[in-house]
Amino acid sequence: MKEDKWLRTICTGCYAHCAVRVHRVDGIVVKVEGDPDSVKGAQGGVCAKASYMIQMLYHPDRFKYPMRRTNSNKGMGTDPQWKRISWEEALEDITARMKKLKDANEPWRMVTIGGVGALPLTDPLLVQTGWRRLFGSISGGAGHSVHCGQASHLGAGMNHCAWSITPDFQYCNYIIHFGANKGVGSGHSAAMLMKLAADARARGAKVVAFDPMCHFAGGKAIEWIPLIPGTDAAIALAMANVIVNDLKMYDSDYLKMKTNAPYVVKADGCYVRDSHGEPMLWDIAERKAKAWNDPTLKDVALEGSFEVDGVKCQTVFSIVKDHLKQYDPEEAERVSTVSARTVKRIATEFAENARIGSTIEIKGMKFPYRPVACIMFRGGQGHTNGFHNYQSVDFLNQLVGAADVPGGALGWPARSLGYPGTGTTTFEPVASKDGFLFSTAWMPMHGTWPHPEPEEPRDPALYDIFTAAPPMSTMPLKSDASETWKKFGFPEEPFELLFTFWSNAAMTAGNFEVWEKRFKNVFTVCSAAVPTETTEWFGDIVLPDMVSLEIDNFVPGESYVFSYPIGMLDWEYHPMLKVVEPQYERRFIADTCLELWDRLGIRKDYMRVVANWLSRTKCPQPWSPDEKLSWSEMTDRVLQARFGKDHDLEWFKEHGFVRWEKKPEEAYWRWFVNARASVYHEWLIDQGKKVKDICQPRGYELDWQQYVPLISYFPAASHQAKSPEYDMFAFGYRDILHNASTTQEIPWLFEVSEMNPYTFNVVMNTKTAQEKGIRDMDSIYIENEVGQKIKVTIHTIEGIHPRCIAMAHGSAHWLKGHPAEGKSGLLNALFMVEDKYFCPISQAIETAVRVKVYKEES
Amino acid sequence: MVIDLKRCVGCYSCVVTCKEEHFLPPGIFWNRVLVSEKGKYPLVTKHILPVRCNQCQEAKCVNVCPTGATQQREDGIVWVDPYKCMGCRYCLVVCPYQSRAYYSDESEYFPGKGLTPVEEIGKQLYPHIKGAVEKCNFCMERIDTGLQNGLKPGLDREATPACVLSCPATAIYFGDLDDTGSEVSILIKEKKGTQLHPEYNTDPSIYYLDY
Repeated sequence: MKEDKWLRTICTGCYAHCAVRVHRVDGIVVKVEGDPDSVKGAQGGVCAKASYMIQMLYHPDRFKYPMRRTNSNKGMGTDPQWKRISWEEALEDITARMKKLKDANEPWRMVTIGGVGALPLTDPLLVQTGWRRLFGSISGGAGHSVHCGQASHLGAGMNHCAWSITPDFQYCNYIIHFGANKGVGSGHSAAMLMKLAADARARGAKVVAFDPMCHFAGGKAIEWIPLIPGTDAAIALAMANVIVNDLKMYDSDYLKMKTNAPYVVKADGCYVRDSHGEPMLWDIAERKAKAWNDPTLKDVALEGSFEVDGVKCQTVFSIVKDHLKQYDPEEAERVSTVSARTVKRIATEFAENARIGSTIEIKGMKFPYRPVACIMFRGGQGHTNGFHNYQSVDFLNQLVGAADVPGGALGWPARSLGYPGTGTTTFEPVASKDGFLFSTAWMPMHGTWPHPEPEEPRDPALYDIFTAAPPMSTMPLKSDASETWKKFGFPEEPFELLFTFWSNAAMTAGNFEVWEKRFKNVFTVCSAAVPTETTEWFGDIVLPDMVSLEIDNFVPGESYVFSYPIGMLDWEYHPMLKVVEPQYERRFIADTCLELWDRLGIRKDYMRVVANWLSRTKCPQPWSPDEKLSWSEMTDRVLQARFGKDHDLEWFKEHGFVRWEKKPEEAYWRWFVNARASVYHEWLIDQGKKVKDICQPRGYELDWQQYVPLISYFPAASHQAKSPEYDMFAFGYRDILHNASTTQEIPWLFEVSEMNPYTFNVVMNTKTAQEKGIRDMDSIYIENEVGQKIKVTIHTIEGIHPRCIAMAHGSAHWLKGHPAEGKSGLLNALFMVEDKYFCPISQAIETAVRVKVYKEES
Repeated sequence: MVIDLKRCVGCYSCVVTCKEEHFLPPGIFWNRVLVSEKGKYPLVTKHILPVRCNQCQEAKCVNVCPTGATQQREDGIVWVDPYKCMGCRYCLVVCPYQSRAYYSDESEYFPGKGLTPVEEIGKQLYPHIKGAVEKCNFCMERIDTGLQNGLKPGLDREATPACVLSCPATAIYFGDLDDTGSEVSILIKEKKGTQLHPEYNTDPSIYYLDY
């Protein structure tokens, strides 16, 4: 062998971006391993999804040149009859179409979508910053319905200044999952958490999983507790009731200092505010109300009724305590099928294990020690009650003070005192409006708090109405969007141009039928590595894209609140690094975007905006906006700006990443930041009123009752079926072997998936199946309330709630000749995507569907 | 080898990394993860069992091999010399753990689309012989090279089987069972490691914790 080298980069099997080293022999990549020298990952291990990188790199179907569709027919099953074109022809055509929209002042006729796998690489800086902010297009999300944690990102952002939360596996003793798979395979910091969670199980941590299926979280839990999907809040609030009203075991100091529990509230539910508009608390010693940020405040009242300037008021906590009384465990049992006894017992175990009042010393510093965590992610929040469902679960952490302290529920670290060499990558939560947490390090075009004032919508995305929701519009997915758009004065079908990057949006964004109707006649440009349903059935121009092993990209290093090592693991900054030279005419989407922005006259603005965004985390200006840099050159500049001239791209190619020691006050920042989390959402009163004022005159109605400050249980849309015949709940889960949908095109992952009894089968409870005359491996139909159906092979198991039917997301491709063609079932085909199936606050889509199941007639 | 089932999450990393390490052709597995469930609703747990050749000390496959292709080394590793194997597959039948595979036909990972560069180079780096039986050999090439370089299997990465390294949950341990002070020996003793189906009387060299 002439060459035998190991090179470092990050894994892109999912967005956890674990550190890997890649074995290259004679220019060929033969192996990907976890990087044993890094803590951003499993410290040497890596999950099977890493193999995606190799077989994607050498996938024989990869596009090599730009192509144009010559068949004017579009849709499922049509051959696009691709014709090779030049990059210049492609870019000229695309630019002309974009210019036309921009000149007509209708850039919102363009939709831009980045794939889920690529999300953290492309979405913040390309889709949100370049296309949405500077060009004005609408941004959507592939895998949006099945993948995105709209409500959990909103909730974790508000309460933890992070994109998601996880148990502090290093110190946590009692872990409750509500529709979350932290540490058992998927999502943020997947392999890193697999190792930490295994360590936690080995030392005897108890894991409880409320989940309709005993699979990833349930399968590794000490206790699996099946429930009806979307009833999490009924359970969590009943637990809170037990903890607050029966056990009276809550962390008063935490609630007083770190939440809005002591804020005083008038009869109308709004805060009592001082002359500057600041919310007030009751100072016990001085017997008067003071603003939350008054430096003379000493001990404040957590409970009680007071009078401020003649106005009667009560503390938030007093109101919450009363409010919780309605959530008795018996009612939770009726709604969720989880027995009242179990709810009480788990609540008691949680409160007892919280060790309220205890402390722990880490690196010479004393911290509150709260070794319990209650975690919700995609599963539990994917309902029309997503906002309240998520808040109710995190409320349990807030009650016992187990938030961003050792042992508790941790956000991906939101406080960094900076890289010691240069002081860059500095960020921390600060107090913003009403004293609540605001993160200086966040995705562009979106914030944690305060949420912008709702306004008359400027474009069909309706971002201006749903201002609290994460910034990917769900409007393009909705079957009744045309009616809504008409009400707001937009065209019934506004879109003229669709630009997708690394995504199979047609299959995974919403429901294919809706997609086909909306986008069939929309000119579609796809930057893609391999053919997908989207490129083949809808693509008008395909741009051949690179895969991660061919790319230098600083963005994965800028992973604030998203994927930096968690807890006391050291800080590490990992860029994506090129391992092999790209072939043919393939181009990285970021370079394509830079070129398009150049032609559209917004490249300079783009360079300026990105530099400003970087400066929010104390990165010195890496370039002058006039410089025409490639993405690789931009990467080199950012690395040098952040870590010093000696740390250029070449240095990183040799060393892979920069690591520095994490201080305990960074990992466990909560008590070092004078800002609060919400246990009462007063803002929803005003938000609801403003949204209503905009929507109601137009005849646009939302579920207004959810715009209430008290965290409450609302039945999800899937809980109300039209007829008892639709007696089952179909839902999806993320399989450990797959991220979005492209992983299913990878033969290594495909053949291993076939080894698994779940991945390519749709599962239901054995007893339920018997009652319906269904046997294991029968072919059955699953049909939703509007007659959309899928045919699947059923696998009967014990570990699933009797009223549920489950399937792995991203399965059942229909592109001919692809490995995953027809495997398992496509849940998306059953999704109800009318407005009423979306959470009115977070825009999370209802991902449980009421269905009936029946056998195929012989 | 010791596999801690409490730590294992069933991610299949060991299976896929073995395919990469040995350039295994489509459909050939040297190790597998068997997933099933225990109990009746609602008292159910998932059962995840990673399996591979148990490197039995009383290996039935060695005894039945008519050509001497399947053989046991002094360190206990059972391996197949593909050049001596005539493909009779008696060993496949006799292995109580079904841990052997027969490589019959050359095939491509993307059928009809030719071999990918990684499959091509694999033919030189780790050739597979058509018509021979193959199985896990505890990555004996890694162990041997490692030992030659003064490294210790189980401790040094370069001398340790690939599946042990790739496990993100650190569920697999490797070392010398004959050394009572080795990590694996101590784990088996302290955590009461058990062999898979000891009733087959083959004395497997793989022990499971928390079975």
